[in-house]
Amino acid sequence: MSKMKDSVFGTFLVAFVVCAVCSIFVASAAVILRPIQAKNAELFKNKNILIACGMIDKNDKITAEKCEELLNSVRILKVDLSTQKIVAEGAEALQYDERTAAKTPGESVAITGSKFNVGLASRGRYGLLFVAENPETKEKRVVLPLVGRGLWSVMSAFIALDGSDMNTVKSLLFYDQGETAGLGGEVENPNWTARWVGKKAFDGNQPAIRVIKGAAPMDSEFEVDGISGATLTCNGVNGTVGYWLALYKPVLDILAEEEKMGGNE
Amino acid sequence: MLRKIMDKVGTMFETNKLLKPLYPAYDAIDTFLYTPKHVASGSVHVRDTLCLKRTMTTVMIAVLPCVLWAMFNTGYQAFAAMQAAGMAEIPVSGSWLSFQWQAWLMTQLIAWTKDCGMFALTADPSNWLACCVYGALYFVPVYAVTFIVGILWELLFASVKKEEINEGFFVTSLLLPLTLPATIPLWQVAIAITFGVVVAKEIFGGTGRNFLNPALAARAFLFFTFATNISGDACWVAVDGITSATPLGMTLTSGMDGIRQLASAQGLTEMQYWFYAFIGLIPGSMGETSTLACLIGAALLIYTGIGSWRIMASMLAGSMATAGFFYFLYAIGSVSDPVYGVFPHWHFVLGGLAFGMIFMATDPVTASMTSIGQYVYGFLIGFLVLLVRAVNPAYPEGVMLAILFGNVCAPLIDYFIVQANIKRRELRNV
Amino acid sequence: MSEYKEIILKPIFRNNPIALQVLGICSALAVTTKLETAITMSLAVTVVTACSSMVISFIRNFIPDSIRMIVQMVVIASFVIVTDQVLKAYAFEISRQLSVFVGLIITNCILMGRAEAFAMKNPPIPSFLDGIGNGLGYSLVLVILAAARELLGSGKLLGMTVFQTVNDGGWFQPWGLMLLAPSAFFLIGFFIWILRTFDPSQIEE
Repeated sequence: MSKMKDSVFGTFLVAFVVCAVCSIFVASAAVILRPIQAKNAELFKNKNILIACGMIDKNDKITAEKCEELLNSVRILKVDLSTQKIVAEGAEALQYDERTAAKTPGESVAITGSKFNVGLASRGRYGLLFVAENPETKEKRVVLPLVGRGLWSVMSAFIALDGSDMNTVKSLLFYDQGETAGLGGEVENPNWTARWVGKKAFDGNQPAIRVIKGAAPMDSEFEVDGISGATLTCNGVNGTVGYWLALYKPVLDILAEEEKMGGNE
Repeated sequence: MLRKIMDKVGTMFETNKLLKPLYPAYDAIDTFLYTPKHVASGSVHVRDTLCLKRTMTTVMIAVLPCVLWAMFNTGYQAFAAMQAAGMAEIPVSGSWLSFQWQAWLMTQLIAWTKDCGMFALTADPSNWLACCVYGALYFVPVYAVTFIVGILWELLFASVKKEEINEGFFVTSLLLPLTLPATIPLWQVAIAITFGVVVAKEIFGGTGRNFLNPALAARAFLFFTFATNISGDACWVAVDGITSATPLGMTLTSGMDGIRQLASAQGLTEMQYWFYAFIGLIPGSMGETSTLACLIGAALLIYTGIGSWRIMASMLAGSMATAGFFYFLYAIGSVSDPVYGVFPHWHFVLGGLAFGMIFMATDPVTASMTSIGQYVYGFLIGFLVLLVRAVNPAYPEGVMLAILFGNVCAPLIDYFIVQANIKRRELRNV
Repeated sequence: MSEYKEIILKPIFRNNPIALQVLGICSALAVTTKLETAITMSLAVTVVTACSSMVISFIRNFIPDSIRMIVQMVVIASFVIVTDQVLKAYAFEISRQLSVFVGLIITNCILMGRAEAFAMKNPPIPSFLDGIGNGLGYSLVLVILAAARELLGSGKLLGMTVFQTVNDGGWFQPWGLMLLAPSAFFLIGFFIWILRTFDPSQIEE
């Protein structure tokens, strides 16, 4: 036996059998579990959209079905950010991943000439936009996805504006970031993002909302309290929010126009 | 008289069972007041007049100008900031957790001394006595907490290890408060010095065996644990509600423009403001603002041969060369970040460069021992200070981190120097 | 029976893989900022150690010496990948936080150590128990570390607020250092210190 197992043939045989058994084991696990995993990833994404839209609360436990049902009532737009044309709606639009597109040649646009420093080299050609109406409160929101560089990491967030004036901030939600825990990482803290609510995003056509150092004056329309010890992360937040607001502004104007026409009917 | 009392107490500590564990405490006080009890008898081979006690006492005298300046400047900065903000009285506020008892006490003192003529205290930056009193109200408690908590740990370890306590801690306890901002909460100081003494020193066997400077280790602990209390804008001026960036903090975001802005806010030219910074009339950690006071200490340390001039000189050279190089990069346009464009002579007077260079980097226990090693060690620290100040986007100051890193490298540097020496000598003998 | 008990209990205090053998430190630094992730990681490591030790023990008489390590690696890696997949499917939030560290269980020295030192020489059932024991020893340290770090670093335990932090309007000022990796080194050091004070036989010469 021991002779057999240490021979060249035996070595190859054992190696082959072990590899074969293990690969079958791993492959079957991966195949069986894949649908559940895909569902999880999708649920995670959709949940964040719904939270930003004000349809559910952050701590709600929610099933995938319920999530899908709520998401069906949200108008999902995929917009060409250069021409302001809507290129897709609904589930098809939801398939679009801006971060992947930003890294794909042909799908991406280099970021230049903005007065806001978003800290990224390129963005996807298209951008997503969500228009939602809470069935209970009848509150309308427009939600924009944000992505930009903080101090150490690329941060992802959603910002929701009031659907009727396209200006008042309704919520800000950072769902992915790797800033200094306890300092810059506090951008995720709901107590801080709550200070954005009620501020105005634009002054005229220019994005005006920004985080300042220290405490913002009580009656300030555009200024948000800074996070102490996190000036550089806050600068990143300013760049990110400003950049995307400026970019989406024409689209928001078109939506506002539509809204007005709809209202007159 | 005192000798008699000490002797009497001494026998009590030696004979009484209950007090026996506390013998190190007695011994420490005794040694500090007189010469050590256990004087070697017979022939000993010491060719020097130095001992740990004299070394430490000299360092403490050398630090004294910084201590006095710390008290004055803490008060001065507070009152100057109040004047600039148009406040007539020191605001006393805060919940029970953050009650500003210093401010409260100061307002009481001002009220009591109203009629004392030239000794009347006022919340006015030109009243230097008031500045010193207000500064002392901040500095002395921080020092007291550092000393008491630290000495308790030293006693505990000395009792358990049945060793004697030594003077090393007196210097540590004086250096730590000087590197802290005035508004640091006292409980944080207590935790920090605990960390410094236990983790950085006693674990490795006490004075002489620690490879990190305990005062700096304690400060680093605070820096990473309670960052908002020791960095940023809110902690430097000892007046509730007033925030003020340090000039060094300004350079990180706006380079020389930041400094000019601060200068013009006080109605000074850039060069005048440089002298202000040199003398130490800028906000910052309590003892580190005055380059002048540090240099006085340096003169004493170098004269007595206790502080290594090699380390000081090479650290200065390292930092100035790196600052010059960064300025060169900025001037030719390879980097656009304004922090690179800060002139080297500004780096010298801002932040804790001088203080760290003179009192921290030269700590004989944690620095390199060999002469050539000291040049390398100092230069490395100087280089790292600038690297952190300019390249790291989050930390305006790099002296603490650079010296700690230098401490870690010191034995390695010595090792290579010694090996090189051995090799050279072997070759000679072939 | 007592022999089995011994196999399980010994690695927990007397021969703890982290505290005595100082293995598996990297993951102990990375996943212990929160108790939740630490517990998940502990479970994953325990399961993988136990299962891989058992399987390796089953085939120990067939493994050629020349490719011994590689075969052990393949078995361990398979279990790690499957564990990672299961976590992604059934504990998505936590696996997102653990990110690469579940995958990096492969490089955890405890697994290779047990496979090589124990499973290659013992029958399957003791090997399985040895894996459980070492996994639990690892878990013990991880859970203690994570509890200390989460409590001091963010005032919470298992995500529930214990100390209300200043940023949330309370009194507790979180210890930022505890959320950084070096704090785990200090805490492991203290843990070893305490352990060896009570059991001086663990002190190295």
